[in-house]
Amino acid sequence: MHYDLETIDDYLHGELDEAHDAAVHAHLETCVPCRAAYDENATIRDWIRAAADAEEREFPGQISARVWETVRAAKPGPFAFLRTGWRPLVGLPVAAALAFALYVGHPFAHGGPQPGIAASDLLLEHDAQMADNPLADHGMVVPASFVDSTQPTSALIEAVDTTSASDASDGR
Amino acid sequence: MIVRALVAACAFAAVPALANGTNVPPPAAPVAETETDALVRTAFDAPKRISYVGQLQTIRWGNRIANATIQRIEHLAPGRTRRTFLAPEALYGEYDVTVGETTTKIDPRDHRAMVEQNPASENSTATNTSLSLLEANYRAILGPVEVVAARPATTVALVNKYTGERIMKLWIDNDTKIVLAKEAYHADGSLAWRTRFDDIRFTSEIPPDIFSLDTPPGFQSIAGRHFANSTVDEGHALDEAGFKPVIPHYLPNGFSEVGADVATIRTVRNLHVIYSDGIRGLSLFENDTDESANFDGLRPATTHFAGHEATYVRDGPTTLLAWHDHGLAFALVGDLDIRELTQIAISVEP
Repeated sequence: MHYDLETIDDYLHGELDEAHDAAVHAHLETCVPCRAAYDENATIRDWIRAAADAEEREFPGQISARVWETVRAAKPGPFAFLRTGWRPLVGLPVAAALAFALYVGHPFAHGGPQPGIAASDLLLEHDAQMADNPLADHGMVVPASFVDSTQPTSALIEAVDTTSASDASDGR
Repeated sequence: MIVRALVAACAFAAVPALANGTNVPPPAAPVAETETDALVRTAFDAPKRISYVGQLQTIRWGNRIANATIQRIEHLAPGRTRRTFLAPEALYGEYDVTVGETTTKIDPRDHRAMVEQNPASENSTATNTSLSLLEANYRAILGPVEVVAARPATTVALVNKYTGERIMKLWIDNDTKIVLAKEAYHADGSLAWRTRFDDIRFTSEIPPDIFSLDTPPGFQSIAGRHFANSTVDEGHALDEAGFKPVIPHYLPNGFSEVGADVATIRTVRNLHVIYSDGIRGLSLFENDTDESANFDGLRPATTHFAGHEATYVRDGPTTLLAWHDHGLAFALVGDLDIRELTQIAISVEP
């Protein structure tokens, strides 16, 4: 008796129930053809994983945060949706994209934008205050192209300059 | 100690000979360790005296990945700098110009210009404080001469006096004392970040026009950030906070408070206290909104300490730990690992 490839594949991915899993495990210990099929499938799985890992890329945290900020701010117009929706080939992906945009962008979809200060702002503020030290890490990069131009700067950071009051209080 | 001092002395004395390409053995004159400190001090100030054009590579290592940039830098002493990004491709052609406290960032593809103000970039008092802390907390150990960007450079390791760990290594140009390369290390010795000139030419004949802060014609002007002006008057900043602030009882050896400010970040008023040990920086943010920092776009993890659930994230070598307690929201940001940040956080007791 040999297991079919589908069962071996399910075993490989841990999708069999406990009793079935144990039975296949015991069988593979003794059946050379099934073991060969299992090894072949395992090799393919490892290739796919390796290829996926090799392709994995990640934006620097600051940039990624800005991209999310822009996505949240996106407000697709209803007419654009209707116009695009007429085209069957793109209708489905557009609907999916719009659903995603609404999920992350609409305040009622999941309780609104995340509350609190963006962690990326705190990282930037910390980095800015280290500018006076030539030995500090100055590698954090937030170029102009990653800043949402529709967002008023005052909503990002308004600094309260305490120097003048400090001067007054200590007589400097 | 004596052996190390002698080795350092010989290495230091050997630098000019190697730089001149001669094989004449250096005179065996004893050189005190303070001469290495003097070399580092001179390197601190070198950009105020020396102009250059070069190509700089930066790499910041995170938990899983590294971020790298390549920039062409034009620096006209004492305080004008232009950086043009050559890599990664997404940034290619963007540049920024810094003169004093002001930086104009130019995005040529979208025709946008953004102007930022950061008083810290022109704060000579704070720079002197950093230097004093550096000398108090780190032992500068001279190493061999190595070649960086085809120039002989003296290596200096900065070793923490409390832990004995090497936190940074510098490659200082023998002629100009400009730092040609820097490497920073985590407490376990792993590399945190690195900058290195691939190529550098020392010249003051750089057209001044390239340092213009003006928005180019036809570009959209975007108001950028105006970072807070930190003050050493902690008491005043604490008064300005508008709530009863809390500061840590514990700091890692060598860390001192170097400034404080109050900044409104996305409509939330925050007290920001800044600490440093001369190389590494630490920021404590706190506000009375009881709102947690949001980590959108980042990859946060959860940790627990002293009955609190906290969230942390690493951005390259920098770690951010956020939690709230007794109606106050706290965040620690620093060039320290999560274990050290947690120890500090435990000592922040409202």
